Amino acid sequence: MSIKRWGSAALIRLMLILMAFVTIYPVLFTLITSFKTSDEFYSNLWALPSQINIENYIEAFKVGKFGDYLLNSVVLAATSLVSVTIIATFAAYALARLRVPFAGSIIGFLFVMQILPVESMIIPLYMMMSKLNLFDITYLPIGLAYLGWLLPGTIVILRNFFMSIPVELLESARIDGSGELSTMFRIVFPLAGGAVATCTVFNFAFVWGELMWARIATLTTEKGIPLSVGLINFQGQYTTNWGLMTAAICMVLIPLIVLFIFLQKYFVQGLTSGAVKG
Amino acid sequence: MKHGFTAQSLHSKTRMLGILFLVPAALFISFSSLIPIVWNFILSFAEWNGFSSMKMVGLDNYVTLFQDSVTMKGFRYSVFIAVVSSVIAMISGLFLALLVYRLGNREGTVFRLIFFTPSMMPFIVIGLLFTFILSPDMGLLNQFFRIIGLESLERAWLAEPGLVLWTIAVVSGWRGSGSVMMLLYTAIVTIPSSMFEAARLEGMNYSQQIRRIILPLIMPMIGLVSMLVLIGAFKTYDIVYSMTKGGPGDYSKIVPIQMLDVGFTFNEFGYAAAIGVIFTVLVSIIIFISRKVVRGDVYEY
Amino acid sequence: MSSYKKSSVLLMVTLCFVLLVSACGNQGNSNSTANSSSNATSKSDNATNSTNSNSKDEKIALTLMIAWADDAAAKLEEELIKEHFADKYDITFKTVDNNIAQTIKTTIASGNPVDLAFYWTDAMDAFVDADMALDLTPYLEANNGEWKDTFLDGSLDVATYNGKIYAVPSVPVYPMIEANKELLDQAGVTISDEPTWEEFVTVLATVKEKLGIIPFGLNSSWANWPVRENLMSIWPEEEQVTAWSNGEIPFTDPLVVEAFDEVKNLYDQEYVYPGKGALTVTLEQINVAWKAGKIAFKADVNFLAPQSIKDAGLENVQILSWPRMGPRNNVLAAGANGYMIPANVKHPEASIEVLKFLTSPEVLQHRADNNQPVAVKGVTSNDPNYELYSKDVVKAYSQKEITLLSPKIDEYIANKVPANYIFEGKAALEELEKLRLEAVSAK
Repeated sequence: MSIKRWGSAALIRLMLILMAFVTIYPVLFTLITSFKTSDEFYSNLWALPSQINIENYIEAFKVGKFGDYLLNSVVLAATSLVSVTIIATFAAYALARLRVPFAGSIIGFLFVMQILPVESMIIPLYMMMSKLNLFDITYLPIGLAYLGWLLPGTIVILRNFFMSIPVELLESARIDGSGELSTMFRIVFPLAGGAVATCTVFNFAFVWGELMWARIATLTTEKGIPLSVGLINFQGQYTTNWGLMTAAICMVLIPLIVLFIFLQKYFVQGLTSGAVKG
Repeated sequence: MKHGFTAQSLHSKTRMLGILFLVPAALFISFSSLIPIVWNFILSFAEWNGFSSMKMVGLDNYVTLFQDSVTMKGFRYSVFIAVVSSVIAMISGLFLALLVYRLGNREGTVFRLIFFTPSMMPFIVIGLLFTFILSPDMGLLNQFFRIIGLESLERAWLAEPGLVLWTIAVVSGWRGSGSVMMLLYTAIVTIPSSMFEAARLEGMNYSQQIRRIILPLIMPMIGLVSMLVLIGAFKTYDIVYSMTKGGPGDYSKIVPIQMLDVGFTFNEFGYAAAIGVIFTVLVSIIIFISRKVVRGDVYEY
Repeated sequence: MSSYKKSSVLLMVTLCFVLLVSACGNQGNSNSTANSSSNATSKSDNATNSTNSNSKDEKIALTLMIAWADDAAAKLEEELIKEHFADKYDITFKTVDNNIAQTIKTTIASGNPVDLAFYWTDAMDAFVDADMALDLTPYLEANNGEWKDTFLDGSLDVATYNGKIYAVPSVPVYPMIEANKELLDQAGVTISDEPTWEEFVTVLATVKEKLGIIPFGLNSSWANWPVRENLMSIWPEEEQVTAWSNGEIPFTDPLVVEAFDEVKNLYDQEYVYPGKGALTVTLEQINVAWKAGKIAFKADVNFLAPQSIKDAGLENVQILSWPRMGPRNNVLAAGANGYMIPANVKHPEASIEVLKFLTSPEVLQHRADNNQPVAVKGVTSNDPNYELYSKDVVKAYSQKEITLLSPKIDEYIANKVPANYIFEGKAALEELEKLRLEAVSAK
């Protein structure tokens, strides 16, 4: 039996490696291109660079004012993600286990909220925020919009996780006299670690890469501009310096990857038998 | 016991708390999502060029919509791409999640990171990369076919009407599979290990475990994820635009691209809003149908 | 644990509170914000928006979108503007990208428009249609047309609608073709500097046959050029061209059909690189092919040619005027990079002042120094190449294109042609005909 198990694991590994190679090719392509000059790139797209040329990175950092943009993106991401996670967790729990009336319709409503593309929302949001003079505050217009857009999806996903927590567990806690809030903190939230981590990764990817609204919202200021908007500076009317652009993109990707690795310890086995028995 | 509570007061206390928890979310969602949607709805009954005042025209925009072949085609293309790419994303995502789970945590992390990277890449690079991979002359794909001798399979992947939609759908599906994998993996991980121990004692191998334990238990998550993927697939604008700009001609002009054209190029914002409303209705119907199809009870354990 | 509970509830409440308060508290009071407001003082639009700038210390804040990322000359212009107006205006520059129209319109729709924006003078119908562009005619004609006269003759015509001028040009842009002479020599053909269409197609056929390559590189964004040029040049009589531009000739006219057919033929015969996927080929792909010697002709914009030749490392390149279909050699559909001002700008005088500076010969001389042709008089260059890359400017503005009739026709011809004609044939012409009748009756 042990040999058979070993065999199937190797096969799985093989399949995964093949698929991983196909999947990671774009990242490799970006990385390789970032070390080439424009000339080299156009001569042979797929070749390895003749030398590791980090000039693109240096120039992208200087020209692209990456230091500033990076800080802005980080602040934006941090505030949005923390707010979304907190608000969504409470809301999701409420919809899952706190006997809110019309919970089903609210969930359906949350789905519908996600359908309309960002393009349709730009004009009304811009008009609203401009009338409220919100554009004077750095980060606020962008963050506020992101909050409203990320909440429905996150709430829906988290609710699903909360639904899988046995009602008996909660009932017994209630009967034992534990208030709702302490039930939440002691029992429910620790179990949601994985789901929250996953949503955080998605939301981070969204905030990190969102372009359309970020650009319009920062149109009249020089402050609070995130990285995604900064990338525009590398795109020309006719030509794009792909060496610079890919170097910039690599730099943009690194925080995402770091976050992923940092959060991965939360993607672990959730409910332990201890909780079930207790 | 200090508090003598009845079942009823507990019930309503819970309810109040629940509603309280929903308030902040409701506030922000209303501001950034609900109000724009309502605004769009009202705008769909008006004529507005973005600058002068709006003029209410009742159902005119809707009438135009159903007579406009470009828009109608756009809906068909959107549905096609959304459904095909969602199916691809779901199947490959599920497949990957199951495989990665089997490998355990450490190796699994590396693979999970790799499979998630397509979702992280800005669409600009994906557009560039794929136009080169799919380039009829020097692209990798056609060159690959040449090398293995299957020259007849060579195509102009992004330039043939019909085929271009399939190509976009596949690329989009590939991109979405990472997210699907992540969510389903997290769902599998919440299954208590006691279940797996019991299965191992019974002598089940992995594929049996998949069929009898994992799949039934994560069905609700699969249902949820497929709906989210579907919604996301309908919304994708950036990747289509960067690969074909809606071309050739208007053979890949999906609804978001058409909406932008109608609004910002033709200055018919009322009509664009009407397209948005019909689009929302259409997608809601499709979501509703798929909800019925992939139904799943929530299992507690 | 109860402290954990308390602190997170507190955090949540504080968060909402802060956001709400800062939103409300900002109604009338623009400078009191929490974040890094120390730099924000002179830049806030709102303080100066409601009333005209009163105090002498408070500079007017302007937002300008004039530079593309790959335009070094524009970056220089930004610096010059900043320097020149340092005491008067507080200027924020934003990079222009492919969504410029959308960006401009969004800001116009919200009542807070950008103060000056790059735009193509031959594409202004998108704005004029909705009265979104500021009518520049009074400013141009002030003082006996002082400003107006600085521009090349005819270059303002493309931006004129119903007698009013809505944009001014800076760099004239017209299509031309670069020919790789080495490949032509190999195939044993020559082509004149100002070829006719028949000549061009014959050479394409010969090169394809002799060298086995697909000779013509035309990327998808510019795929409409052959059609537009054919539609301009096919008319034997001058009056017909005028009639055509005014939308008086139907799209089903045999000459029009011939113009479209010739273009379709190019694709059917696979003269356009890379053959089957020609309709969606990108400029990047063309550049790769051009450098690798896989195409003999590259369609290009006049002022980009020097760079394109340099980047490809080609030594022996012949500059061709765009092939003409009819007998007349004096007409060319062209445009210009230029600037427009939204109709609802807060400080039109300021915008005009900056615009005048930007289009002055002194500033534009910098472009000429880099071999870029400019649309104003009074600019000199010693480089012989300068002539070469602007030689067709004289032809460029003699007639208007039909695309100026309506945004829909413009969009159709810009994006769907020739693809729709190739796949649908007559049906595409009928669609265009419908649009033409709509536009004509709307006038």
